[in-house]
Amino acid sequence: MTKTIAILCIIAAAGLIAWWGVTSGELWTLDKVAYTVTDPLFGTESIEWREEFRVGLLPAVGPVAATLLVVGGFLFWKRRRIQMKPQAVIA
Amino acid sequence: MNTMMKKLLATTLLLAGIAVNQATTQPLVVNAIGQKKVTLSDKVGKNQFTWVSDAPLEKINGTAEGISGTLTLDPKNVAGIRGTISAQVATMKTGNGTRDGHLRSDQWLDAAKYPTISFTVTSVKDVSITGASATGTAIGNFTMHGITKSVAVPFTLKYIEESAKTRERAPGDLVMLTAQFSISLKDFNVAGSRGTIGSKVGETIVVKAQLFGATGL
Repeated sequence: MTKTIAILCIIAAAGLIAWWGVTSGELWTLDKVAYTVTDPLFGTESIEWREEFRVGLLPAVGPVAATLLVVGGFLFWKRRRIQMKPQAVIA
Repeated sequence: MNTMMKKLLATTLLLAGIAVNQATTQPLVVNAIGQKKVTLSDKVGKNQFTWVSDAPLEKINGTAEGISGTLTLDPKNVAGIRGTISAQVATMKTGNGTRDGHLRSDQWLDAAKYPTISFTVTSVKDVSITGASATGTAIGNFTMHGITKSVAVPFTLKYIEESAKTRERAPGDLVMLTAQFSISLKDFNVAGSRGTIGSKVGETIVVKAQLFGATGL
């Protein structure tokens, strides 16, 4: 059971980081995204902000993924510690 | 001999004077004559400052809008451009609402106390003309966070005379100005939250300006 939860935690953390990488790769979560717009008369480019949510490493994905990794790692360590304890020999 | 040298010196000075005069009063190749009042307006094109803070831990791209201002420009003397341009601090955006709030707070630009950032052109040098376009360096007073410093801003200018196409945007001749310059936050007494400048926020901010105006507004 402990091993299953640990593996699930690590898979969830990896999934979150992959999702972040694919969707934004931004350090901070954005609530507006910059799009470049070209002026047809002058040929200049300007930035237009559009309401859009892009999940960032902070404060969203980073802390959650880190917690999941810590929990997963701790469960693995705990399981290994229990396994390494000398077994009581019943005479 | 002495008289000849004097004549030669006088001729040289006269030629040099003519050359300097031509260099400073180079005209744009347009039909417009006389001094024009150019009013900045988003009807002509999107007036915007874009800026980049490139720090080791974070790169921030931002914009400032709410730009207003007027310039006086004689197409026959680009070096004579004068005027003031200002942007509203409250319009600055970085794509993250929380970060925008920090930027406008009293720890950073203090939008409540210093609501505008402005630039007043006091002189123009190094003008070079190509048809209806010009490049040069505008010298002026840049005010931010209540502090004014003299800065040199290289710019390009494009002058488009009124036509059916330009009238779709605004009446009169249209003018576009682009410029790029850097500002040091320390110079303007912007300290930020402790330890942020140099790690998450660049010590120097690179600013690009795109300004559009018309003479008929």
